[in-house]
Amino acid sequence: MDAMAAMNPLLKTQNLSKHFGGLQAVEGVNLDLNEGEIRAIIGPNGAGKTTLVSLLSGRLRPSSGSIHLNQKDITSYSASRKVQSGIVYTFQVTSLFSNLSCYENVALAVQRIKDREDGIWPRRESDIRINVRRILEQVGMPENEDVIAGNLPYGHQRLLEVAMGLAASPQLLILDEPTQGLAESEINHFCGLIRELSDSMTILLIEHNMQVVLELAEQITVMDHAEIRSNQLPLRSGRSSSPGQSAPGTGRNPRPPGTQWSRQDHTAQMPDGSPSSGFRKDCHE
Amino acid sequence: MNRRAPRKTAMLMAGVLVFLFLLQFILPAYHHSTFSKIMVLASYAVGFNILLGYTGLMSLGHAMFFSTGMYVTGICVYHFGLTGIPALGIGLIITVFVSMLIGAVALRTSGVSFLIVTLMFGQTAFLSVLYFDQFTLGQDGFTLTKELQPLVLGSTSFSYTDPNFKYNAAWLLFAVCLILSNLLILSPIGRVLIAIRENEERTQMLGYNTYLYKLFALTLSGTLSGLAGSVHALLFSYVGATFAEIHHSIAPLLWTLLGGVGTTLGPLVGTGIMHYLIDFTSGWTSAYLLIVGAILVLLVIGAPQGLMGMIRQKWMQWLP
Repeated sequence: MDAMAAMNPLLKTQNLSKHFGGLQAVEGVNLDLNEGEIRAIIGPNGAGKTTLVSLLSGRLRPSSGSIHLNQKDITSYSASRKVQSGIVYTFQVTSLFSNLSCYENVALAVQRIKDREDGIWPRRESDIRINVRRILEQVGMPENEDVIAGNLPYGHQRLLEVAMGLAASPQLLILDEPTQGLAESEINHFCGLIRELSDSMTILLIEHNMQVVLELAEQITVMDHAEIRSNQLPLRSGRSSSPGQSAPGTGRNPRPPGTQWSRQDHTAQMPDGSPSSGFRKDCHE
Repeated sequence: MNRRAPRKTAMLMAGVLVFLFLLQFILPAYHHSTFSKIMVLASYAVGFNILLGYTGLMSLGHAMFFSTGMYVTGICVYHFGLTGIPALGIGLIITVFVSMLIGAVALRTSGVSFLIVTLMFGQTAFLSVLYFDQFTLGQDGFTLTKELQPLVLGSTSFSYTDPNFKYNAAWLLFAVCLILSNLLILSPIGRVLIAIRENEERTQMLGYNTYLYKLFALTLSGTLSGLAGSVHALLFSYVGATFAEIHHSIAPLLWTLLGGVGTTLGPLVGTGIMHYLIDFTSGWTSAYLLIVGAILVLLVIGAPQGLMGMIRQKWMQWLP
């Protein structure tokens, strides 16, 4: 990431807030996402992470504040228009068309893109098929084309969810707790996939599994009590701690033992004025 | 439908249509006319099924669309002396508009509310028929036997009362509805409609404006139902308020459930079975609805997806 990218973020929110009645779920959030980065949002349960990404993806309308994508104000866009402009959300609780085959699930995501390129006429089924196969291949489940989505093992359902996100050719892919409920081997495969994808898109990751966060994220945003507390650079962990280990409720101090900086070049992105947390001090010792 | 099979589907549908066409040469007179009726009503059910079976929206006001077509065409012939085809055309245009208008309002709701709103619209349509009795002749309705001129094609003319003409006109209507519904379901638009049925929020989150797709489905559904109503008026020479009543909205629901919701052949199968079921049992006892009801309950227990749905599940997974 260079300074240019930092000046013109892909996504920028200003004072974004959402309240449900008297409950303030998201409060004055200013979030900048740079093109091509993998950003993780962490924080305890109920911190407002899912509400925040729901605002970004259009599932919820913000109470106040604004969202800009490529400097264009998309605050008032409906969910479907937000997807069309490139923000794709994959669900925390897997939301598939569980009575339809994997092929149909991915084809639904694929054909909308094709629709647009071709004007009003739908694209040919043969074109759709090529793309569906490519995407299923990419997430590593090419043999499951005809399997009914609801009959897939859970890990594969998560992958299918990501496949549908991919097929919508996003600029920003939002993954809401993608590794929740996955086995260790599946998590490793998943991390590999996400890293591969980050070459062609920006990824916003909500994750409780600190191992995954530290492995993938280029920047970590910590949320608590509806607000962003800090933006941190990740501390890469050594190989000592076991993967798949979850660290819930560690929002304020997500530091696993034996960590150290691995990406010094990200220091420039630290938000100025934000209080240096103990976390950061540690890093420079 | 787990896997799209356009070629097999085309062959099956062509087979069904050819079979129905050839059937007219071997059927005895009584069943000949019964089949004409079944094919017209099955077209109505095909229209209904596009909304219920493929978009997941249950309407209880479809008699409104059927009777819009029926009354507009009937009134054009009865009061304005038009011949069949122009009356049919006007009926078609008006139903498109009515469906779109009702859809634009009713689709602001979903689920049970949608059911109630369509029911209310349906009742409004029924009461309108009774209210504007100088045109509709109220509850009794009117016949077109005297007013309807024969259909002239080139040098030959066909009487609407001729059983052979009836059969082939009904067959043509059904063929149009069946082919349209299959084309729709195998198209990318049909894929989106099915997705809406399965999980509307997810469909939105894939970037589809589901409201527009639902409006399209409702308009097509209402239009096919209205077309069936228009043809019904012309072929059976009667226009009456019973076709606007609530039970005529429920009828296509029963036919579709019986034949298989969300199967393109289900409406035909269901309409046919129900028609003959009522026909046989009513000739036998006056409590025929009791027997029909019992048989339906058994069928629902044995094959909750309807007959074609069961066939799809067990043997022909590609069936649209």
